[in-house]
Amino acid sequence: MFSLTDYQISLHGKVLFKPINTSVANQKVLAITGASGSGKSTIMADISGVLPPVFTSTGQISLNSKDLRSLPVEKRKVGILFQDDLLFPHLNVYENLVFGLAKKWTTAEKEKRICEALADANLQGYDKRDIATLSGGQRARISLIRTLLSEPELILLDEPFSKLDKALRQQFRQWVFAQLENMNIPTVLVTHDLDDIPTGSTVIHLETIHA
Amino acid sequence: MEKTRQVHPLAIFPLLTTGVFLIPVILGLLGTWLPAFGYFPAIGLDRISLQPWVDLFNHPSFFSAVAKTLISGIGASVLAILLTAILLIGTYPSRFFNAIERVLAPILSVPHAAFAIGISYLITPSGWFIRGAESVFGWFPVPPLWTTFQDPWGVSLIITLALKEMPFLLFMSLAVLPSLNTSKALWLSKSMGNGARFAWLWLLLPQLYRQIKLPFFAVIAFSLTVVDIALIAGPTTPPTLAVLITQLFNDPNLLQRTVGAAGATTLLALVMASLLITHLAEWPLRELRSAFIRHGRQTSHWMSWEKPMALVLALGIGLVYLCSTLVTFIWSFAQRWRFPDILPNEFSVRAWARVFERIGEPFWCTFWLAILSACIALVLVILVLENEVRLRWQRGRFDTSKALWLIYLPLLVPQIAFLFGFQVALIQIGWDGQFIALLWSHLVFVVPYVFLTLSGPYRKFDDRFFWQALSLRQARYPAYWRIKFPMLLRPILYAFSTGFAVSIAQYLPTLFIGAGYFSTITTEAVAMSTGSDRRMTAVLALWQQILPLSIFALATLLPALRFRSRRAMQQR
Repeated sequence: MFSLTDYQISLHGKVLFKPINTSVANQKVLAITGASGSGKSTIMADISGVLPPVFTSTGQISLNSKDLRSLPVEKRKVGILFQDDLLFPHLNVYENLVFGLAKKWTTAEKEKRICEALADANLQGYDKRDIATLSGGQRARISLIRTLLSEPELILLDEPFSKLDKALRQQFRQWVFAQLENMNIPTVLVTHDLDDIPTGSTVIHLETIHA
Repeated sequence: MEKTRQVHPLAIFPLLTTGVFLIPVILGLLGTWLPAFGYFPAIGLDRISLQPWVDLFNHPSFFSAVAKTLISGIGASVLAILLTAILLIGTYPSRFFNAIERVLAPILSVPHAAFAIGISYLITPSGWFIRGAESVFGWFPVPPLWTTFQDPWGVSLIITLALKEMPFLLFMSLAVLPSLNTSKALWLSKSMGNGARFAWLWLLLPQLYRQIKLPFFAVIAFSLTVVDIALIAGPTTPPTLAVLITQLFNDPNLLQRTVGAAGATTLLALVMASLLITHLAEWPLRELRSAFIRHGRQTSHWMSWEKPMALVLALGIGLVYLCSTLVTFIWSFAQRWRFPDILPNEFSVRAWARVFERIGEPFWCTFWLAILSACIALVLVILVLENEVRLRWQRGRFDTSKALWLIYLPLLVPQIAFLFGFQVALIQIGWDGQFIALLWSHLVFVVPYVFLTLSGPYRKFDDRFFWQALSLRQARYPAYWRIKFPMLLRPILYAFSTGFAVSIAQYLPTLFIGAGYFSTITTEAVAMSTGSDRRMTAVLALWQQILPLSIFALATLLPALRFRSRRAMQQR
């Protein structure tokens, strides 16, 4: 369960949007929409823990009863997916995926998990491939798998479909939300395309507050 | 991020690093200005006086040395930038230019002394070029009576300097060329009825100049104050001012030190004046530029002579570098080499054997100095750049252009204007003649070059990779060492090789701060070059070149090997 209480971000003393009060249960999606510059990506940065200090953030952010603000980035267990897949270019597919896997798994278990994940995504046998040889859609899938394999407790999607072409988008979208439902974690999605939002999500529309 | 009121550990590194290369300069300048005005307690002078200046101006060679310095220094700098401009106009952008880019690194890694020595084997009256002319055209049955090397007005010095500095200017231009939008500018210019030459002269080159102004200033400072190349290729009696000052500093009569200090201060003033004039000259040139753009007069022929000239130039310079290394190599194995033969009549490895016997200590000294200074500089620079990442994230924007002047300071202040003072300061704290002091003096020059080479690529790194790694692995060090560092491996290794090469090339620091306890391959090579044994000199020059070249080779091979199956990591 992820919740924001009286949540607001301000820059140079000016608030960017009205206070947000909402919560997202596991397997559910919170969608944040708004025009460019309304603060969507800033919220993502804040939740993942990399909000630049020029911004001030007030209100509570809690994930599974933990106050996220008290935790540094690496301890928050928040997974994030950007528009760019940001796959590590110097590692192959397997090495990219294994990077997020917790130390507690043995090598055999890691291999098993990765192979299963790749099979789920229709990419079996791709583990030794150089990521530069993959297509855009394949890379996007690997990127999501990588994030999911790190077992986050919350996942943030920052306009993850905007770089994919139309034909791919619909298919990829469905696959992503199916995977996320399996994970039993809440999702926060930021997008300016209303088609991206699955049915049954809570939608928050950010109005830019003009001074 | 935790909001902490304490100072972040990274924040001390900019200060520390600046201190490393600035403290010697400041101490050194003070330590040279005081003796210049007669205050030199070490030899019993404890009163300010103008006697050193009187002695200096009365020195028989002083004014002629100043004249030669100005002629060769300004001449070489102007020639260097002209050559760079012609090359760019004629060959950028093109596949030929990409080829030039690829050979720049080995060309830049040739240390000054080795290069000057190689040139000497080419252009002296009995050098390879004349021999070639004799073989092909039969013009020179005996070596001509020309003074083509170490000529009294410094022409050979100008040529040698310009040939060494032009690749450096080209290299510094490389980073800014993409941002000039040459194709757009050329298109724009042609659409207004002016030729490509117009676009280059009045639009692109001025923009380029603005961006490489500091490196150009470094070139001017270097040309005016270089000692090792001037010793090898410059006029001998009387020499340039920098060489004269070095002689004064080594004079057995200690009083001459104060005269030397006065001379060093004069040289500093000359450099500052030249830089100021160059800076001020921008205004009239800018007016000229506006006038030309307004009147827009320009013939519309396509670049008639620039392209062929640039081609000839590029090939010519490449050939010179190649031949100078080749002829040095041949000389090292020559036993008997009569004029006008192109190749020696008899070969022997005697020179190599003799050098091998005596090279042990200088070699290791050179090697350790270079490795340690490159490593320390690299660590310091990376920490400073990481701190910059932190600051950029904190403040949103971060203006680094002011800091650039600071980085260039050790490259703009003449070495000879502060090394003496630095040595005096070291004597006071008992570090004179210690390896650590010598290392520090090398760091003063290695750190700026490592910073200049690494900062560009490091700042371009997309930090989202790091955040992504952080959120995946939940730990900072793996995120850095397994993701950021490998992704930056090529620039990091390249910066390391550059630092290494800079240390190898250092001559004056070893001479002064080494205080006679340490000798490097460079000091040995320069000393040997003033003698008459060409073969030994050749061997030493080659040793001097082999070291940086091998490190550069490693720096190219290692990433190529490691990332051989990663298409995204190949060099552009």
